[in-house]
Amino acid sequence: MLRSRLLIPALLLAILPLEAWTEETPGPSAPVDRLEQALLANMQSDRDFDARYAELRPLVQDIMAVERMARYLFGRDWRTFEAGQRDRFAEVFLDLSAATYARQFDRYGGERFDPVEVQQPADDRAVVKRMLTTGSGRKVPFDYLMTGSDDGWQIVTIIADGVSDLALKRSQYQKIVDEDGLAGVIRHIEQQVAKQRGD
Amino acid sequence: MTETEPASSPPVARWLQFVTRHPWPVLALALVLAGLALATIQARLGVDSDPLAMLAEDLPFRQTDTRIKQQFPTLDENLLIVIDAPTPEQAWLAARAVTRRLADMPEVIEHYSWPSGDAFFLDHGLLLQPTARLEALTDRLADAQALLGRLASDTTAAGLFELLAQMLEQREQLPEDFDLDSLLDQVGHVLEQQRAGGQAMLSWQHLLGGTGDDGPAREVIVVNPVLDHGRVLAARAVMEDLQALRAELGFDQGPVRMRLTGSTPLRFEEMRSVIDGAALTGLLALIVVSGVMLAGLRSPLLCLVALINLALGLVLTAGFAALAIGRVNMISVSFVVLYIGLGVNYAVHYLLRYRELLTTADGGTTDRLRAIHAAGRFLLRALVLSAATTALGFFAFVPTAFAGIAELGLIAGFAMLVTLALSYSVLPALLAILQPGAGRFHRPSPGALQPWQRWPLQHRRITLLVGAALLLAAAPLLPRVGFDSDPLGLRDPDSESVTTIRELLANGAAGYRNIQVLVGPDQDAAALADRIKALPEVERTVWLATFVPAGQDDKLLLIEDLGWLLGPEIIASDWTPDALEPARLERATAALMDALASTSQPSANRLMDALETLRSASDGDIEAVNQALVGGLEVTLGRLARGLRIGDAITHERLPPALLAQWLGADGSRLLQVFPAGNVLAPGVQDAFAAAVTAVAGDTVSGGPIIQRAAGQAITDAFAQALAWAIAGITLVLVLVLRRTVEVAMVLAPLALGGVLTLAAMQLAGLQFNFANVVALPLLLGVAVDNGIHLVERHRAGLLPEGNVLATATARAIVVGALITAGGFGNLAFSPHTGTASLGLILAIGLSLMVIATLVFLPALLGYRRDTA
Repeated sequence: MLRSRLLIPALLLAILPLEAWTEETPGPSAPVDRLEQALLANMQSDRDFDARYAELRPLVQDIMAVERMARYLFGRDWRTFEAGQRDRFAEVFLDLSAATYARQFDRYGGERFDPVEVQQPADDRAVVKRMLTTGSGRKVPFDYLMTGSDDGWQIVTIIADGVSDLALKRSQYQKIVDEDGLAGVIRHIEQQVAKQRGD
Repeated sequence: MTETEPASSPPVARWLQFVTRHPWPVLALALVLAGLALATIQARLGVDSDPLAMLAEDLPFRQTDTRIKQQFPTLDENLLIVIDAPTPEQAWLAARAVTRRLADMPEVIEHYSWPSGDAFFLDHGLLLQPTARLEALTDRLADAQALLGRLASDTTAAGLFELLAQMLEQREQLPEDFDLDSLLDQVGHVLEQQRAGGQAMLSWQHLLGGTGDDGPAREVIVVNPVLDHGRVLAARAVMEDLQALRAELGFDQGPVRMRLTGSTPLRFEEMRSVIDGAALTGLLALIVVSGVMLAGLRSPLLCLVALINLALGLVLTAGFAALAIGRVNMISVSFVVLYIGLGVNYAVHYLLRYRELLTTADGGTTDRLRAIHAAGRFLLRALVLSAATTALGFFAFVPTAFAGIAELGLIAGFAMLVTLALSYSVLPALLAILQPGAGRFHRPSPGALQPWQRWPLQHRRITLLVGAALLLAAAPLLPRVGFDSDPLGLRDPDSESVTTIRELLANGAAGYRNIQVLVGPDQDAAALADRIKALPEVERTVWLATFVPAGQDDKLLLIEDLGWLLGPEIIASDWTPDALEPARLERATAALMDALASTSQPSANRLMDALETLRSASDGDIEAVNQALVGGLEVTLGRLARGLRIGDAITHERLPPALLAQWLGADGSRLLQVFPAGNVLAPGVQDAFAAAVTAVAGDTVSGGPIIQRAAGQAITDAFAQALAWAIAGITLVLVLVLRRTVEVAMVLAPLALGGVLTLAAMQLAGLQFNFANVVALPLLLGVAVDNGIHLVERHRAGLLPEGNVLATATARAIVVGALITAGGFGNLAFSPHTGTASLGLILAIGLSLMVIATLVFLPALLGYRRDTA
């Protein structure tokens, strides 16, 4: 099923980056475009988990503001953790993001990402609104909360169907931090990554 | 008609003869005077119920109070609208409904403030929270984000049902702390209540937690009412309008309750209860007094004479008060009590002596007229001496710094002269007109004395020793009798304003018993605030700088973080409920029921039943259900979102003018509100609070605790001073008239013993003096001195049955007079007005002890008189 429809996504792939390149500097949508293209490409290929993961891991490293995410996940505590642990957390957190995407977007069933709008309330803040339409026609709104700097735009929060990924994770991690510190969170994430990989 | 008094007889005899010959003109003249007095009362006499008005204006705290109220007028008279509801959302929505109407009532509402609905606090409230609270809020909201994010874009009951269905299906993905069971249970509960016709509302604040309790909630609106000081009930218009508003909004019976308290309603309800109660209490007192009189005088005609005499005297005295002062205050209004208590004795002495004389000879008109003259002549010395000493005692109150007592002294002193004048005009005139007979009154035959009449004289030594022992035992208790200056303690404890303010005060958050400090333009307010805040008696201080808090950058960062966590939908939404199509609700209800059917939730059945009934709901029901389930979001999330949208720190320049006016005076002075730590209603707490703040801030302080402390001090000092002067003056007159030190000492003996025993009994009974009952002191003073004079004079005059002064009409008059006063005011002990009740109790105790002191210990001092009878 996937292979027979390769042509259209391939065209899409060809056009979208072109749009991005035509801008002077990449806008807030650019990282989202790259993510969605990678996900579609993964779904429409016959790559195994490891291959999909290998494709996504450097991408999420690039497009996600993991330091900022950590600040929102841990609040004031973040600055009190030792530097080595913070680096390690950033690593495994990105591992988990890549692994989750690799696991959940594994097969193509007619999914479509459509741009809705881009809101930019401040120079360094933007909301990129997208609509995922599943193969069965269900529409799921995706809001990407973006932060901008001289180095370009990065994703901070993804809100899928109203639910904030960051808020969900914060609730989980807060409890573990209280008991086992950041090391406990790192272990927890490592287990989750392994679970995604082994499934 | 009768024989003429010879020209050589004393002037009083000739005067009494004149009166009894022309009783009708005398009576007519008295009635004309009474009519004039009534007209003056009607035209001029006002009631000032402000306790502060009784204090001299040059006292330092009164000047500070005036300065503070000039700079900050909203601190003056206030009215608190207290709204209680089962949930914070209902309380807030009710308060908003009320304030929206207050804005349209300019004729009775001058200004109102409702901080939790005020734009400035809605926008900047989060910045005014401590950082730790903001961090805790972040945690709670992050936990609830999954729920809120969906509802933000679909604020309907259907949206909620769909979300709940989805949550039930994907339970494992919910945050661990997310209490889905509680949420389902609450939804079921609200639907049940809604079906039963109640006004239930899902409390998102309770669901999201963080307020510390899930109990009922309260909102307070502070109103500055428009008062009509030309009326006795100055707040009548505003009180009636607010009560009508309460009924119209349905806040008088439903789960949402609106109550009125604060200085205006407290005073209004007190005045109204006094006015309403006066008629009933007066009638009751009249019945009891007449009954006691009838028993004591044993003749309806004599009672009639006494009552007419009393009524005329009361009217004339009130007329004098209207003319000389123009108003009565909380203390001087009790001249009525004083007048009846003392005035009735004059008539009783006169009437009983009249009857005593008739028992020896009652041959008809001639004998009766002779008895009128003889009684008047016999009592002249005692009654004049009584009137002179008591009036002088009361006039001694006039120079005190306490206007309440000074005015009472003036009125009561004049009253004594009125009562004496009436005893020698209206009273004999009425007797001459009515000519009552002796009836069943018989002069006691020798040997027929009661044991109590014999005992004190037969056992003089023991009696006197017991008296001395009591005096010594009671003396140490005296300094401990205090003055309770809290006006709250006087009022009907069951009235709405009192129960409400007590609830507020007990919860500590009322701000009603704050101390206000006026900080001059050149003073360092921050340093002063810090020093005051460091006091253990102080909970916190609030002033202008409180609204420009430190650490706002950190808080803004936290608020920004929260924005990233929650997402723009939650923050941008106004959270008002969206319209709900019946078909959509039906679909969502079905979906939720399906999801519930496949779970084993304990709360599932209850919710299933409630949902089942929704299927047959009308459009109106659907609207109500929508409001009940998601209407509260507007309050909790709407306000929160508004606070999260703020991007800038508060600066002094950005404070709204209305807020500035509350804290910054026109002359640059600043207001510091000091909140007490602990419950100010507990004994000693408020006084310690006032003393501690005064010690730091000097005489720049005012407010309820300060005023009450100062008023208590002023009234205690003034009474001590007044009583000392009164006793000194009375002693001087007695020395001049009686000329014998022993007799002076004997007259004062009942006062000393009775007074000391009364104070000791008060201490033992846990009674304190207050604004309402302190008048018992001068009344008891007057009664005691009069009793002493009458008994000593009677003893001196001789003609005693068995030489025993207790067997005379004088002793009987003392008992009857005390019983009448106790009967008239003793029933006040059952008054709902606590202050009035304590007056009744003290009078009952005091009069009993005074009569015992007079009739047991004084005869023992006087001894038998062997020369006559």
